[in-house]
This record gives sequence, structure tokens and C-alpha cells, in this order.
Amino acid sequence: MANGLAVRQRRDVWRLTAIDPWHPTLLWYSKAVQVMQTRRYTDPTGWLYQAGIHDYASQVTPPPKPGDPLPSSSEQKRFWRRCQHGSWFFLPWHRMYLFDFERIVAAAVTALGGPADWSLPYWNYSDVANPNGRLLPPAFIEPNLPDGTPNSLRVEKRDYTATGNVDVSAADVDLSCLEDTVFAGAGNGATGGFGGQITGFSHNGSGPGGLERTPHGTVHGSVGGFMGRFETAGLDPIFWLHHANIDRLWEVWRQRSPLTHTDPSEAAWLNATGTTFEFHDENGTIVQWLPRQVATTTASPLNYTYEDVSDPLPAKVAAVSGGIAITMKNASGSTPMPMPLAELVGATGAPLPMRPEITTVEVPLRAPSGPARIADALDVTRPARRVFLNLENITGQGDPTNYSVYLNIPPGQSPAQHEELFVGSMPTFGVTEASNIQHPHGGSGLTHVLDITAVVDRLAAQGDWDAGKVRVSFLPRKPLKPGAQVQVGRVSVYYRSE
Amino acid sequence: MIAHCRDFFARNPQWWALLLSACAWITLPAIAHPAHEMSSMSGSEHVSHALTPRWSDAFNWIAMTTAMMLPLTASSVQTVAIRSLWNRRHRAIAFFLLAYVTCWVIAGLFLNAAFRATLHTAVSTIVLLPITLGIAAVWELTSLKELALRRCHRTEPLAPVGWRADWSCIRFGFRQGSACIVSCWALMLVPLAIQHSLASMAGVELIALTGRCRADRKPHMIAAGLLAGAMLAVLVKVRAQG
Repeated sequence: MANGLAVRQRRDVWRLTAIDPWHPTLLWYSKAVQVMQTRRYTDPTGWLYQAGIHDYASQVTPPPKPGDPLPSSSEQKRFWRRCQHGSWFFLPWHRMYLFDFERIVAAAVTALGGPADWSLPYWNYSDVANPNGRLLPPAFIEPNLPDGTPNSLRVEKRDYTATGNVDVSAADVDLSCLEDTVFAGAGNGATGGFGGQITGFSHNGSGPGGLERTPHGTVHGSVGGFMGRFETAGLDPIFWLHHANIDRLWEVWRQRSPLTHTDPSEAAWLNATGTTFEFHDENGTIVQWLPRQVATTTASPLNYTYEDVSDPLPAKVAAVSGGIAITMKNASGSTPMPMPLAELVGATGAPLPMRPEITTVEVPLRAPSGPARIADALDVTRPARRVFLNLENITGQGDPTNYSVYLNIPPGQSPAQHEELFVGSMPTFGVTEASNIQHPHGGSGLTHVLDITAVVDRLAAQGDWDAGKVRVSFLPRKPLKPGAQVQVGRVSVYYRSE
Repeated sequence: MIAHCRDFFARNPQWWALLLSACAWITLPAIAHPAHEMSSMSGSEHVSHALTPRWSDAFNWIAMTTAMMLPLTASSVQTVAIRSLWNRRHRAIAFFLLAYVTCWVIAGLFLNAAFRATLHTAVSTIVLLPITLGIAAVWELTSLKELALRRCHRTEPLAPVGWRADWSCIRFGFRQGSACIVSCWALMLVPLAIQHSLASMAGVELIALTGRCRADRKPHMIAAGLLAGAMLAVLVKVRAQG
């Protein structure tokens, strides 16, 4: 109990499935979704309304029916298309969104005669102990419930087979983001940290954190269909289990190193200065949340735990991925010092369209002349430095796929032979929206930053690193669908002295 | 101390754009026309000296736009610097700002000409001011303004070296400048109508900066309310003066 209220537990959907493919949690979820789907478009507790909070576009979401109009324009502006991406608000905003959605589903479950403590399960696709972990659970595939009525957890718009295989690869669910010691990265050529870059309201900003890129963005892209776009993602019932897992991974990150893995302490984050996050509760009443109110799940008002928040990574000292800290202490240990600046050392001069097979580009590099002067990547004996690969202004349309990114694949050879040269994933979840200037904050495309230090270090140690150029290869993980296209506006490399 | 200063300027490459803006603000009292401040306006007053184009008009416009618009570019200037090689970053900023200010100079030619033409039809400042305040209030709430503001937040790839690098900064500056004109043209009518009154320029600057920093619609609704309120105040004042 916390503050007199029962603490609910969000459970692993595959563990529930192991008990019973139609475990009551899943059965009641399906029935509650069905009830929500019958509610009017204007009902804040309805299925379509809830999906619209994440994003909405008239071209791709179900049209209003006769006698069931859309919410008014002013209401849409206030409550819809509010999802936070590419931002340090990504995690707290989605936690608020999930919490109110869970309350709405739980109320529907109770009204149907189900248990009073219904909680949203999570989809732990990164569980290496579960060979089925990356498959969709059967409850999301079966056309009917055990009583023969239609199963509302199944949606046709997914890229899956009859076994629930949505081609989620091991790279899609990689959890190396948990090694990042910084919540909010500096950006500006360096990574966005674990939780995203410092921004204001950011519908599809350019500073995603490691967790938002992988597994969040990559799983969205792999499941595809509704899940492949901001505007429709909330229409797939698996979306909510996916985000429950992302929310759980935030807790995993905090608990694997409580002293160093801490949330931002800046008032701008705690109070979401300059913006307002509003939702509706199970009664349709407007509720307003601040990130500081949702930072702790086990206390009021959230009052929930996760079944498993153990560290999924092999035991080791957490490596530094995105930087050592957003601020460091100086020699006297008193004044916080800002993180060193990253410096551009090379970039492509023209946009790079992605081909159906592998796409390779050579990036000319120059010796740094600014703050990264001492970070010459060729000389491994120099003081610590980090190397970042920026994939800037990624634009496209259609249902694009995720890409695996490699460095210096020898000409004529396949990336499959060189997994040691894999530096990360480039998800394209949301690329259509981010490319569209009509979309809130759209027009610039997506930007992803990969920390490639480890691979560069290895290449340098082997004598295979050329300080004058680097080849970057992109391999689509799934064939592109007809009409889908993606281009990377610029591929650039930044150095940063540590 | 020197190291701290160097670090500060490295982290804030937009410093000299803001310095230029500050210098321009210093010149503004010289170009403001106190005789046309609201307190001294009368309903029968005509702005006869503005009927013909003058070089000082061009200078005044450049000073006004430099003062008021460069602070709005701070985020874009930072993007230009971050996306440029270290030894090219200030050159890149210069090309970007040159293109950006050029957009506003061209816009100024049209806006000033339109004003002169309007004044030539014997419309007085006291009539023009509430009209421009009303236009600015309405424009704040339009979807065109919202779209233009979105364009102001855009980033784009910049070539790293050679003439392509310079050209991509110029192109980015033109795109930002044209988006900024669509976003702020109506606001800029207000200081024009009131003959570069310092108070009006400061007020417009505050509205433009707030709208640029926040992504939601609240500041625009507040700005529209303030502008509409100012319009009503002017109308009441005119009525009181008979």
C-alpha cells in the first residue's frame, strides 16, 4: 500500500501467457478495448479519442461515422497530437498517457464485472530467456475470444505471420541504452542520453534518447502497420504493452545504478516549464500532470510496480555511452562544469537516398581544429574521446523499415559477415510525420545520433581506422514496401574530448 | 577567466548576432519619432513627411529589423554553427544572417511602399494604428501564422566545405527569413504605423520572442488578446480626443 491506495503490479505478458494464453488480464483487456471501440469519437475515454492524443491525421485514421463527429477543432488542438518525441519529455509524457489509459481500461473492466485490480501488462521482447519473447503473444493474433466473439486485440494492420512473428530482430530489442549514465544528453552533435535531449514541447523533435531509438523506435517499425506511424500507433492494442515495457525500462535504468542513473533535476523538466500536459481520467475529467508527479511509480498518484525490473545486461561496470554526465564537478568539486562540446569533423555534401539493398556512403573526415583537437580518433593513446555518427534530417514516406548501420564494411562484402562493424539502428518510426511541414513541428525529418566510439576504437587498435574518411553502410532489416522511401539528409561525424 | 569566456563564446556562437541586435537597439531611439507616440497623436494628424521614399527610411528599416529579428534567429544560428566545421562556423553564420536580413530588407521595400501609398491616400497614423493592431491580432490566430512559425523551427542539412557549404547557409538563411516574414509581417506593421515608436518595437519584440520560444498556441492567444486590447485602447483614446 502507498498512501492508503493499493499498489497494482504490471506483469509480463509472456509470463501471463505461459499460465494461460487467455489469462484474465488479457481476456478482460480485449473486452474492455471492445467497449472503448464502441464509444463516440468525442468521448475522451473512447478508443479513437485515446489514439488521437498520441497523434491524429484524417488521411490515415478511421473517419468519423454519420452522427459521430470528430471533437471540435479547439478540443483537438488542446488534447490531440500531443505525443512527445525526440525530447527529454518522451518518457514522462508517455508514462502519464499510459497511466490515464490504464485507468480508463480498468474502469471498463470493472464495469464489465472483471477484477478491480486490472493492470496493463508489458511486452518484454528483450527477454533472452524466452525464445518466444520477440513474437506477438497469441492473444494478439487469435481472431476470436474463447467464447467465439471477436477478439479486439487482433488488428489486421501489422506485418506479421500466423505465428505472431513480426520480424522483431535481436538488434531491434538491444538494451545497450541502459548503459548510458546520462538521462538528458547534450545533443549538438552528441547523443541525446538515455531519455532524450533537452527540449520544450516536442512532437517529433530531433533529439531522441537511446531508449527512444532502440528498442522503442525499432519495435514500432518492426511491428509496422498501425504501429509504424505516430498517428495510428495507439490504435493497435499492442502499442500500450510496448510502451508499458518502455516505461518499465526507465525503472530498470534507474535501479541498475541508483546513484548515477538519476532523472533530470532541472525545474524545466520537473515542471515542464513552458508547456502543459493534459489528459482525461476514467470519468472523462481533465487531468494535468507534471513530470515530477510521475517520476516515482510506487507512490501516489501512480501506485504501480513492475513484475521484473532486474538488470537484463550482463554484470559489468556500466560503461559510459552518451557522456559522463550532463554536468561534471571541477577540481574543487564545487562548481558544475558543462559537458565538453562536440565538434564536426566531416559530413556528406548531398542527401543520401536509401536503396532497397545496402546503401554505402563515404564521409570525408578532417582533423579537428576546435574543442576536439586533442581527440584525434587515429591516436588511441590520446586522452579519452568519443565519436558520434549523426544521421541528420531523415525524411521519407510510406511504411519505411528499420536500418542496421555499419562502419567500413569492406567493398563487395556483406554486412552479415561483419557484425563486429555494426554500430546501431536507424529506426524510421514517425518519418512520414516528421517530413511533413503540415504536421505539428514536422518538416525537418528525424535525426538520430549513434555513439560509435567502441567500433572506432577497435578499428584504430587494429590499424584499420583511416582518419581521413569513413564508410557508412545502411542495410534495411525488411524489404521496403511499394511506395516507401527514405533519405538521410546528411551523414556526419563528431568528435568530443572527455 | 579567459578560459571561461572562451568557453562561453564557443557554446554561444550566436553571441555576435545578439551583439549586432543590441547595437541596432541603441540606434533606435534616434530613429523613433516621439512626436508620433500615442500620447501626442491626434485624429487629424497626417504623416506628410512619409509620403516620399527616403534613404533614412531604408536605414531605419534595416536598423529595426536587425534589432528585432536577429534575436529570433538565435536557435537557427546555433544550428548553423554546430553543423559547420569549427573553422568555418562564423563564416557560416555570416552567410546565414546575410541571407536572412536580405529577406527582411526586400520585405521592407514592399511594406514601406505600401505604407507610403496608404498614407498618400490621406489616412492618418491614428487611423492606421488600430487597423495594424487589428491585423496583427487576427494574424496571430491564423493557421498560416502557425505554419510559418513551424517553418521557422526547421533545420536542414548543410554541406560541410567549399562553395556548397556557403550556398547551403545562404539557402537556409533565405528559407528562415521568408518563413519569419510570413510569421511576423503583421506584427512589424505596428511599429511602422506608429513611426518606429520604441514602446511598440519593444512590445512587438516581446510577442515575437515568446511565440518563437513556445510551441503551443497559448502565447499567440495571449498576444492576440493584448493586440486587440491595444487596438481598443487606441480607439477609446481617439474617441476621447474627439
